[in-house]
Amino acid sequence: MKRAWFGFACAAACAAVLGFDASAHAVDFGFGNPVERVENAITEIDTARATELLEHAHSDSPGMTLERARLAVYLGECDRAEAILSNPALTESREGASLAELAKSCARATAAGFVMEDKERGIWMRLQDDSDRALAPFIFEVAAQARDTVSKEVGIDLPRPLRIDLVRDLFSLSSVSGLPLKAAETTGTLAVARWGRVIMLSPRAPVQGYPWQDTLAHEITHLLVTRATRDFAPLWMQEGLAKRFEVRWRPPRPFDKPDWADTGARNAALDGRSVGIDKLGPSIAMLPTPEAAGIAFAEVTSFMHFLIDQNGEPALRLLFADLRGNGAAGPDAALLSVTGYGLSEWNARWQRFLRQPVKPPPDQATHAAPAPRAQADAGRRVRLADLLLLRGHGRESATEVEPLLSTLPRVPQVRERVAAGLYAAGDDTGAEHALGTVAEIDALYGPWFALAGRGFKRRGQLADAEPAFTFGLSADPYADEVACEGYRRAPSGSAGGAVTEPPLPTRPAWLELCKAARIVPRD
Amino acid sequence: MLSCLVGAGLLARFGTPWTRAAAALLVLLSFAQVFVFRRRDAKDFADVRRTIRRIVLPVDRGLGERALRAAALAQQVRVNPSVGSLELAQLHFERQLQRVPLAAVEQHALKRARSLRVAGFALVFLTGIACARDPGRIGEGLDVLFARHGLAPVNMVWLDLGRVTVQPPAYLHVPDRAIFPGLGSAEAQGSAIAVRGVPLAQGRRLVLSDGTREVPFVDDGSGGVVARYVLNGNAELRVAARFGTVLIRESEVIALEAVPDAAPEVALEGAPSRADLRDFDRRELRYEATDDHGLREIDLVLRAGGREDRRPLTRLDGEVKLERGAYAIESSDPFLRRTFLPVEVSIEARDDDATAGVKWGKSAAITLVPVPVGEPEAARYQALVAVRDVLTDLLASELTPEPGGTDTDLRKADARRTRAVATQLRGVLEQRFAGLTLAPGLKAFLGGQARVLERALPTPASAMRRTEDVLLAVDAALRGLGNRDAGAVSKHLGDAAEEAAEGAKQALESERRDAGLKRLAQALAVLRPGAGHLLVLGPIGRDVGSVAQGEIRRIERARDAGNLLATELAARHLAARLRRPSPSFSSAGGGGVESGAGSQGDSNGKPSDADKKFDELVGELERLAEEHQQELDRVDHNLADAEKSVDLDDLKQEAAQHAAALRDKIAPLPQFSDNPNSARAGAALGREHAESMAQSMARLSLKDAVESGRHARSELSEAAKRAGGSLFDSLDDAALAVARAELDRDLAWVEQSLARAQKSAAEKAQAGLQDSSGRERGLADRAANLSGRGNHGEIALPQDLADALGKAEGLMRDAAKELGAGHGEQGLALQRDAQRLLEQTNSGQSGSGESDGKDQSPSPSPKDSSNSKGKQMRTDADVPRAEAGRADDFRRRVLDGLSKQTSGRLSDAVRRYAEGLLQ
Repeated sequence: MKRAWFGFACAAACAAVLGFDASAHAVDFGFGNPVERVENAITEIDTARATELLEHAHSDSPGMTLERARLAVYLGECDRAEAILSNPALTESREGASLAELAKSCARATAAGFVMEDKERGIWMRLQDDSDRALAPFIFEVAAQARDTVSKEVGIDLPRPLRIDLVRDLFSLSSVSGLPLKAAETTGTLAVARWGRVIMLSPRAPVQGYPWQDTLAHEITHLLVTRATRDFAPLWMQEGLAKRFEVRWRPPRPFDKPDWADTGARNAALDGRSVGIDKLGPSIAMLPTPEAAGIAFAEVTSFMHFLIDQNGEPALRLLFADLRGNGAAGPDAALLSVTGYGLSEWNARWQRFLRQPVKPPPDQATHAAPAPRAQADAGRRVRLADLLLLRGHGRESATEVEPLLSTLPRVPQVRERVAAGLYAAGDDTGAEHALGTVAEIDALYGPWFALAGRGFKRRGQLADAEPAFTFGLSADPYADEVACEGYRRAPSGSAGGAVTEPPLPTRPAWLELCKAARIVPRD
Repeated sequence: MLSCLVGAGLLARFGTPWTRAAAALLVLLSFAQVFVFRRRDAKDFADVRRTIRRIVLPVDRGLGERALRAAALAQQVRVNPSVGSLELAQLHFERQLQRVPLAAVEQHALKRARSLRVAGFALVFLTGIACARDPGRIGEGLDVLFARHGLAPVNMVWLDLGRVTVQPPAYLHVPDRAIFPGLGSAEAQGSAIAVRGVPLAQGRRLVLSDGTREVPFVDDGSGGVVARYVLNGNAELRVAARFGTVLIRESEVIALEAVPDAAPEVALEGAPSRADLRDFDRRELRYEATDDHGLREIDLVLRAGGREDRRPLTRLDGEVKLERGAYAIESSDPFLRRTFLPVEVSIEARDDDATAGVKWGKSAAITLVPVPVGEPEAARYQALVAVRDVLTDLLASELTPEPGGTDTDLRKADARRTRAVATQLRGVLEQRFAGLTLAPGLKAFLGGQARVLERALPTPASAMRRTEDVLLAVDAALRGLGNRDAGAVSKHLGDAAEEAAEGAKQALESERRDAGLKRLAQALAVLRPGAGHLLVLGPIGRDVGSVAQGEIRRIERARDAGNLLATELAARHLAARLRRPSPSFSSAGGGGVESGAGSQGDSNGKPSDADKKFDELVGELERLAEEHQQELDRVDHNLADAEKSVDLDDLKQEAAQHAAALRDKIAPLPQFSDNPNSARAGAALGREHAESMAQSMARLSLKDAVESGRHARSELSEAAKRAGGSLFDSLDDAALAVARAELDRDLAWVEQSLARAQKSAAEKAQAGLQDSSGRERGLADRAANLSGRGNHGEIALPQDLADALGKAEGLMRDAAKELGAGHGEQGLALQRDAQRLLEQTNSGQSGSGESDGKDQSPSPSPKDSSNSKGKQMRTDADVPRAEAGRADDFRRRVLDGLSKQTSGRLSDAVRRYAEGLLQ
């Protein structure tokens, strides 16, 4: 038996080496159970083949009807799935009942959604809230780039179109994905790759946005791995690979920490907070706390890094092929056949690797000192500064928060507030001085980068301005300053007398984004 | 032929198509045979050979045949002379005829005539029998024979009509009456028409017919027949007899007009009209309901969208034809408070029509347009935002003072601006926003902040710090208020979204499409502005409001595309979302974990914890009041126990003697008087009190005896003053003087005895009072501490509450002194005063309650208390309202009344209530 699997793995490897994408061009000889063939096609997100198989199927068995409903969910047609599943015979089974429940909640959340499609890039997106359409061009760009890059790296392609559901809140995310709302809230889930689609939260939902670009790439990787392994990839592999590839679709950015996973896993192991790669349960999103979820992500990412470092990327493709053929019982056997060791051996080797002493990289040595703790009245000063700026008292706002620059110099929120106040007061030079440089802050904060871009632009450094705006966009696209290229809306009802409206972006996409951001102003 | 007619008549009387056809055939045959026989005779006697065959052949066949041959020969010769001689042939024929025996022919004829005569007689006999038995039957049969469309052509009389009576429906409670059949009559629909009479012929199936419906006559048990017909519509009734499918009617018609029971008519004063609930406080709905026969019930009906609330106003006996009434509907009505759609208020009345079913009459409606969901909350929030803005401007002015001024000028200008801000803040606290005010707790918190703002501070830096504190405190309160209001408004909008979903669902049914679309449009008209108001209400409001706006656009997109199913689904999703007014994204850990590190939030701590500190202060005040009440109860029990333990047995005999003496002396006093202002009335009242005093003395209830004695003394003194004022008001002055003297003596004795008993009780309670004094002092210290915190910290209590707390502290210290000195009663009185003041300081917490500042939820409508079985307190009295300018008078009258209650166990509670009323 082992020899047979080994032979299959070798064949798959040969195919991969010869550039033959076995997954993308699966040969269907027409053998086997027709329901199972449809099921496999759907799981591999090959909706075109599944549709064709269903069209030629002459069976109306409950199993086939259930697959028809499942395909409708994969195609995002939840209302159709709900109609199919209204047949009581289908909902008698546990699987049918749960699918019917999902179809019902999904139909409610997606009915009359605003659909946009980039046919050239092969991206289909449905917006729950049409005011998110200003973000669509940016999402299309990132989604296509991430899909193409990761596909190339893992040697698998995704069928067109790639489907994305952009939902407005966690409540809708839960409705569309079927993920329990409580679990989503507990772990702070931002996106889910399920039902052949990426179901992602609008960056408008969290108060200060979230790094939606990497999240999108993360979920696209999940879809690719699911397709490559027919969804037989274990959770640690899914999440480890998704974390590995979520940043590889783009050039490195400030605050990318290549060793964050190893550090996190090592610290968790030392502190006794380790979750364990084989104890993740049904989903990382369903772990009891966000801390546990964070540790789990670090561990699986570190493990996958270690595995790939030790075996090379071609082994990964072999592993995919082996998993796809092995079925549900396969991860351990697949690892054994591809690498010569099973999961427990790799786990033990990885833990030995974590125990090795680590020397900090030279570029981080300067930043090694821990950030000073926020002084007691930081929250007070920040809030007062915000209130003053909202009323148009820019200078006073900066004055209020300026003392924090000495105690919290690396906190971008503090620098951004001082700079915003000075910009509002017309002191551009002072603002740019207060803002500092990327080297002087220690976190990605959208409005900081937006103001930095504004400064670069003002000084004619357009080559530096563009990346700054893009970094801001990646973190918090609906922040007023980010969307409007460093300018806040003029304060309403200001006591400062006549108000001049700040300039709007000239690029159409950014102009639309700026308008969308100002639909609902932040306090 | 006559027999045939008779037979046909009898046959046709069965009335079936076959019998009628047979009878018709019989009549035809009877007529046809006459013509047939006549024609045969004529033909027979015109032809000699037919004559021979008819007459000779039956008598002598041989001779007849010879004669026929001779006749044929003669005929042949006549046609063809070549055959032979005509004369010879003629002669031969004549000779043959001469040989016919005439006697035999005659004999044969006689025989036949005899047979026919017998048959004729038989027929006549049978006909006679048929006619003799019931001659009318033949006529009826012939009438039936010639019937067309089931009706015989000739009317007949069947009944010796006795009486036609009308029995109106039972629910009308109208007696039976007779009518004249020929005159026509208008009767209530559903009346039973009874037609009585004696049949003129037996054996007929008599019916009462209106042309379509028949009611059979039945034996009435007294030789007649009766038919009962229920009048459901206009009818012309006739008596008729039924023969198979044929009806023979009488000529006489009973014409009846059915008068339907009309639906009640209801008039509602001022309807139709529209009123805005924003300005609506209370409205009297005066109505008048009329019915042609009687009313059974009158309801107040409130309708909003698909919801209906029907409240019976009156239940009647069904005989009242006119009813007038009024019902006051108030803005605090639960239905109006919950509604988000225009409410149609109407009065509906129903009659008692058991025949055609109950009918409701409906008045025109008064439409009450509700305040848009969230508008008052948004207005309240924005009013506070305006205060926060001026505070922010004040802080900005303090951060960068205008250059050029002296320190004194700057301080003065700052103090002026600060006072203005405090005034504006206090103004907002008293404002009403479409019936909404600030909750007492929040009002107290913000009122305290206004006090903080007005404190004189020594340096500009301390003033600026103070302004920052107040600004952040107001901001924190605002944030809390906004979030609470956002939750409440969101849930309310959830109902509107559910209504939209129901409307879309209804519109999916083709026959109710228009009504469903109307419901949907109404609900959307509520949702759109509601979501806009939600946006105003702080961070959660802004978040949930923007979600709602996006979802409303989705619903409208589906509706505009004609996809009502998608409309319903989207609306249901929105309803579920709004009923869960949580942030769009919330995480227990504060950040996402799916990818990246997440944005670093502003985790710099809470800007202000003034609201928390205020809530702590209020909580401590509540606990202080609670513990002080316990201490007060402890002292009260201690004194009561000490009093009970005092032995009064040695006074028993003496008290009985005093009581007997008093009773004896007051006996001559009058017991009553017609004039309540007279001296006699005063004396009678004094006597009553004196009786009561005697009773209390006898039971050794000294306190009550003193109290009754004082009342008696006062009344008798008053009577003495009035004595002699009128001739008709005679009073025995001597008896009165004696009674007063005795009363004074007895009262003095009781007061002395009571003082002794109290002194004895105080000595017994001394130890307990000492302990209470210590505890009271401790409570006073705590009050002083809280008072200090409420006056000199980042937070402050409003002036009135701070004053009350200060006074309470003073009273508690006095009480402690009195208790320490063993003066239990005095200490207790001071404790009660202090407790009253402590309870006044209980404002509630700054963020208490979901329905901040909303008018108190009303009790169920008294008219709606179907389960109360009449035991519920009446609450529909005409209470003077503020707008009438009589509220103060009313309050004063109530206070006057309450102030007269100076004793009793509840006197303190009454006093506290009265003081609360004053405020």
